[in-house]
Amino acid sequence: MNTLKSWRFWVLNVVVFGIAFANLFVLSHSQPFFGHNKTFSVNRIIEHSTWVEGAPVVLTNHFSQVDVNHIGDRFKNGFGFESELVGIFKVHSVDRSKDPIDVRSKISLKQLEHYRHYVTTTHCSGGTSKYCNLVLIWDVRNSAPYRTFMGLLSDDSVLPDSGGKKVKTFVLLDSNLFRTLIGDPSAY
Amino acid sequence: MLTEFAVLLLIALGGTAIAWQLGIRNLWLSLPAGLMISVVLRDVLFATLNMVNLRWMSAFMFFGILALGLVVSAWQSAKGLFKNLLLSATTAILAVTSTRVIGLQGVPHGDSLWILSFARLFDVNGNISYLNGHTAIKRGFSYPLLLSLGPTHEYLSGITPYIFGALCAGVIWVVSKLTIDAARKRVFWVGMLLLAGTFSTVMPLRAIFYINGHTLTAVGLLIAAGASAIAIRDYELTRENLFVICLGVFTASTSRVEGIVLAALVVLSLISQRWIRRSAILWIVGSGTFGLSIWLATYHSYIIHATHLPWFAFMAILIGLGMLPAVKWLDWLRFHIVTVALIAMAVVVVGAELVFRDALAKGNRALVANLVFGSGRWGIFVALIVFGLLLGRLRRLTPEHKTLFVITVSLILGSLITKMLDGGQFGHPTLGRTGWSDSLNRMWLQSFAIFLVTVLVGLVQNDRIWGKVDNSKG
Repeated sequence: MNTLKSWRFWVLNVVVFGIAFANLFVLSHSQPFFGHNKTFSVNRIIEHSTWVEGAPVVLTNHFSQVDVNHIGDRFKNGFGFESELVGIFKVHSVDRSKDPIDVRSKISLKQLEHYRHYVTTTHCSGGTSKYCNLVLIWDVRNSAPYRTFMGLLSDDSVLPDSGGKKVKTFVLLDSNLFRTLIGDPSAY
Repeated sequence: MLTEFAVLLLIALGGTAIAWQLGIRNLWLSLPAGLMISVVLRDVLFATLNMVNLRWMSAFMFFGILALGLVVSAWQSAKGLFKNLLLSATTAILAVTSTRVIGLQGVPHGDSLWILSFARLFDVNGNISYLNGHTAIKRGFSYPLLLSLGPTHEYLSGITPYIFGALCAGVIWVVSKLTIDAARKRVFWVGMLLLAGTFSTVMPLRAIFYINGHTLTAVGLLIAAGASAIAIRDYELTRENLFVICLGVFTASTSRVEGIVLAALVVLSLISQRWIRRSAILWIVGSGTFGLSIWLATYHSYIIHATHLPWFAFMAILIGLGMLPAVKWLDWLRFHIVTVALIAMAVVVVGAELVFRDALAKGNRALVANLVFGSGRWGIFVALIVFGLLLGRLRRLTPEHKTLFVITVSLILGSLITKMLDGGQFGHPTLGRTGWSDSLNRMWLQSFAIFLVTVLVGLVQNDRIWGKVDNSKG
């Protein structure tokens, strides 16, 4: 037996090294994993990742009791607020019976900028994208641990560099701030 | 950090010690077997105590049983056990060090965050009825349960690299058993080549820290496939092999929703053997149906609700149906089930491609982009497998190589079909999208170790590669 005289042996070696070379230097690749992680709390990981489903988790990370209304139906005029996560992270109540309040003519997103706490995306429909922007807004000067957040439709604009893609922006606004900036929440 | 070191060490040592008590003595097998024993214990304890609303006790009982297994084994101070414990402990320490000390973490992904959310629910003993929807059932049972064993409100970060370590040990066990008569130099050389071809791509490395049930499923499938091939080669299913096949089938069936289908494909060759005992068939199939049914029952799954049956009736029917392959008057089908399954799957794939040509066109393009042009971060791993299979022994296949070959083809067809079915829930079947996070692209993580073992065995057994006239058994 002389392995080195076998052409099949050399074909095997050359091809496998060719594949490894192509994998390493020709085809695109990315980092297999990352370093320097110090976060192991599930709640914090979700908050840091700006996950499309993360809104219920972020709100319960900051407040002891959270009630949310005017979410609507994500397949119609509303936006996604996952019921499994509402249960797991103990959002106190979610009212989906009413669509988000349209405040486009009342207040601009820029006016709310000062109070903005968290910007993420959410599932929605009706536009040209199945994703919408979602901004979580509350006033840090108010220390109340119990909060009610109201869903608002704040913007419906064409995204720059998106080829004419129209993306809605929803806001979950603390009801105390709503009262200060827009009016009586109970009127909606 | 210390809590995590303690927890993972207990899982590693306790599982290995119990495996030893149950007769699993091989060094490399002890690591995956110990892990799978931990999976079974954790799942069964959680599901049982959930029925009486004592979920909070399940983790204590789990650790108690592992500790008991360890103490009993240490008391007996059996010869050889120390080596197995040392391997498990070293792997556990390396795993926790990599995540907690060095700070390595997997790539962020929405599915990982869902799984962590479920782990959080288990951690705080929350209401399991929240898990009755489509999302929960797709994210698995065993893996989030293991993740939830971390420090309070944190996940057990070291378990993911530990599972990958168990997969590597499983590969070494299967290869060492299936190439026992081959020259060590051949095995070593081919092993090195395949390592270079595999770990020059991103996805196998990504599996080390990526939070998802794929790698745990891979451990179950690999061990079941390897033990099946060994049994078919030896015309004998030893107690040890039967036990690890059952553990593998249970683990795969509770880790991913498609796991039970893939596990069934893996053990089909063994079940179709004329010499296999009917009791062994019952144990193997029962491991899968029992695992899946306790998972569905615990999650209050919509699948059970759709049948309008109480959970125990659903469980009894599922387990009962799983006993059919052992029925004598179905032997005519059982003996030919591998051929029947392969033809049926090929017909389904080809038929779907013809009937849903337009719907599948985008998915086909994505599949090629992912596996050939690097978008799926697999490099040209597919070329390595195809080339390896073609250059390997193709004539007069040995029983073990033939078994692995059939399993490989079955897993490829099975993965394509399960993806089509998954996509079909939302309309026409699909074959996914371009990018590493596509579910079919990630599904290959569950079977790539089996593909590699198949290639390795074929290459090692082809004497022509090694300059020798083919005169080995066939």
